[in-house]
Amino acid sequence: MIHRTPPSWGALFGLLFALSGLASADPRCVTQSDAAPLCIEEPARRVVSLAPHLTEMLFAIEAQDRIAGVVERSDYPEEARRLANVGPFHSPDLERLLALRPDLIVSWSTGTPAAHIARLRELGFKIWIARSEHLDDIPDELRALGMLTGHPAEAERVASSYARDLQTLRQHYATRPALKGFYEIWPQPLITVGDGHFIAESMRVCGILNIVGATASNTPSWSEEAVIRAAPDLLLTSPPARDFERWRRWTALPAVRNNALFVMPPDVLMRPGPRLIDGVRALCEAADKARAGMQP
Amino acid sequence: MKRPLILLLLGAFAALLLLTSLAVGSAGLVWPHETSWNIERQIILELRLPRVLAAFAAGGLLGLAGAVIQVLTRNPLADPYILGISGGAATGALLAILLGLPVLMQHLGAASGALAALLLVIALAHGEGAWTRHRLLLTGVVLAAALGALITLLLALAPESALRGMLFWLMGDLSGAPAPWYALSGLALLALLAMPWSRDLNILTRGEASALSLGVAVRELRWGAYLLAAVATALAVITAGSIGFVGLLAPHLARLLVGADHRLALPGAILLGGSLVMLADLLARTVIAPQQLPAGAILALIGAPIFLALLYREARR
Amino acid sequence: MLSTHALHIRQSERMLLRNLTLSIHAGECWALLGRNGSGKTTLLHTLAGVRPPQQGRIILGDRPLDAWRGRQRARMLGLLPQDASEGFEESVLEAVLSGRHPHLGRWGSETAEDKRIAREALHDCGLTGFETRAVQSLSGGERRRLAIATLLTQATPLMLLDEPLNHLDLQWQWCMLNQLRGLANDGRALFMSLHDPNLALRFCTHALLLNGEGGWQAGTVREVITAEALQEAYGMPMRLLEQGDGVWVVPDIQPG
Repeated sequence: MIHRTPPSWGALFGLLFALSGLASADPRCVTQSDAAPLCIEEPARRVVSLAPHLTEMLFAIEAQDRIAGVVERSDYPEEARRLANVGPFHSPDLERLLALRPDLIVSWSTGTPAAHIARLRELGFKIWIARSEHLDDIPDELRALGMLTGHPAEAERVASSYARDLQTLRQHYATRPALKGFYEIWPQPLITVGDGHFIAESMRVCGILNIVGATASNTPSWSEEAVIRAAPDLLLTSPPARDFERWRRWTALPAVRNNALFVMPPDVLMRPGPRLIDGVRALCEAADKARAGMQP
Repeated sequence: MKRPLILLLLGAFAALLLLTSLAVGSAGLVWPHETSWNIERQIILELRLPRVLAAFAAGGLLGLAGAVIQVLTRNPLADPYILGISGGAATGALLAILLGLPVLMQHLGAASGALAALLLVIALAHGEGAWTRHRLLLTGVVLAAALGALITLLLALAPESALRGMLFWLMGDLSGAPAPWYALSGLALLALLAMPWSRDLNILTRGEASALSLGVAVRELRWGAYLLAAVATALAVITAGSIGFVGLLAPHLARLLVGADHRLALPGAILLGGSLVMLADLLARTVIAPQQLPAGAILALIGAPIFLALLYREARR
Repeated sequence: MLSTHALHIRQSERMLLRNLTLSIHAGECWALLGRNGSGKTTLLHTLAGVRPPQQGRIILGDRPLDAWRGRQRARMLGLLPQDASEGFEESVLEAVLSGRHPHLGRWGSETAEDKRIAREALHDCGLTGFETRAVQSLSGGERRRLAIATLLTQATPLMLLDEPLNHLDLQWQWCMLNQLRGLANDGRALFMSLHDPNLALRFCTHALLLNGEGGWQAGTVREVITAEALQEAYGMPMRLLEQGDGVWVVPDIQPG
């Protein structure tokens, strides 16, 4: 804080704001990815969302009237496209952001570059950082957004519905025979998901074991040879599914023999938002099809 | 040691690397076991063999192109990428990736980008007035710089999903090498074309007046050498992406080992280039297997220290 | 062997040589004299076919110079450039063997005979024992002798030399010129630019003197190298001294 000289009006304002928040009798605080709680006195009225899945969450909890601006590719629901656009998530347009005069910016730890978050904080903005890494992060994040925007009841409803659906799927598939699966994010270089990724978690929910296992990076580049050697029962990808059909030349692969190559519906499985449950459901249906196609 | 013998050893080294690359894969397997012979055979023949051959061809082509470009510039430290061809190929390939086109289009994009860059350089450099040594190369250098800026722009505009594929391509990656036969037969053809001119290339390093008085058709030789290097670079880049260092390092190492006579240095550069890329790809596939690294990055990691050591040695002389 | 007819040479806008008509025959050793910038190198390059003439004809042997194909011509006519820049790290033997290039086929490589010729040339230039040395490790004078050895290895009936004595010290200047004159006596033709008219008088049969403004004089050395002609060419008073069997020219200027 000491190095910030001279203090900008925004920063000063933010500081006062934060102090008043702390002083209030009923501080509204939410946790965020770096564990430091974020507290506000008044629900935010002008929110800028720096992630498409956070935009989806704001719509899901009916806080759309609180959105002042969204990041590029915020394309769901349709109305989100009509909102003010602040540019791509990796380099949002700061001028436009300033012009939108947000009283809260919501971002995600793995998407928004740390340098941008620091810069925005320096400019005096209030920023909430979502973790958005695991399936179970989503209900917490919905509730946090409900708190921050003054829609706690709606948020609670959406969050518990999501948690309930997820629990149902978990129970339903817990007893199904396990399948070996491989998820292709990009063909060249071949990029997949490690066990820490929410896609791998989704696969686990449906009784699919990720042949990749635990990796340092959540999206490692992988050897085609290792995939073939692991003999997966199903191969998965999401659009654009470039050259996905090339796997079919490996006729000895169980996945190819059983015609278990599946292209998942767009976006839902790739975004850790409320629609992720639809992605998990599609994944589980694919797993069911693979099981049905397998010879005993 | 006698120089032809060293060349023979280089050939043996390349053959050994090729066999090792076939035997060792990402699963740490040394040789296929009987139980699942079919899939093992398929892995060796359909995954490893094309990849190893593509690595050798790309490295050999860049070694050849580098050796020729170093003669053309009369600078033993020149790199074939100064021709601007690789920038054209990169632009084409990255554009295809950016537009989400299939992998085949990515190779076609690289090929048409390389061809466009080549035609552009020749058209610009071959305007009115006499052909000069510097004009062709300078045109290439400027074009390479401009295309570099364009590539940066493409990277800045690319969605995150495509970014990794683009970066791997730029670093040089053999995971998606197209059928290696084009590159291999291209290498064989270009080497056969270049070899009879290797004595002329020796003399060209001494400057135009010497070369002309010894009966070297300097103008024709320069054009031929430029085209040969350009085609070799284009083929290599289409095969393996813009894999760095090898075009600079292989000819230089070859001259160090077998001497400056291009009758030995050209095959030496081809064998060394091929071996370097095969080695880099072998490491890229196996070091943290089954995770994969871009071969170009490994090559630069091996190549940069060797190259600096050579430069240091040169500077001290 | 080589003749020029009404040859004009221009460098940019400057007329260096006007209407040169000259014949060089076997057994002759020509000295090309003239001050700096008078067009000696340009003339040598033109005669060697490295540079096209602006006007006029050059006949080599039985046909025009430009009708010769590169390697054929290089078996007739060799050029020693003024500054022979060496290539990449070559050995002395490799460098000198490049003189055999025009005598070898596309796929051919040097025979024992070629190596013998090269070794003999090295011997003539005092470079025996240098075969495996890197060219880069030679001194300036040694490199100059290596360049001459390469020209000797090329073994052409006509040799054009651009300041062959550059970097050579006194004993090598005399030694090399003596050898070159010996080649002329054996029936070759030599045409070389020199700085010192005294060496020309001593070793050459003929001389071509350029005045730098297009004018020229050609003939035997004693015809061309006169005090008056040198005075005009070099723009300073000269004196001719006759002593014993030799003739010497010295500048007629008192120091200070």
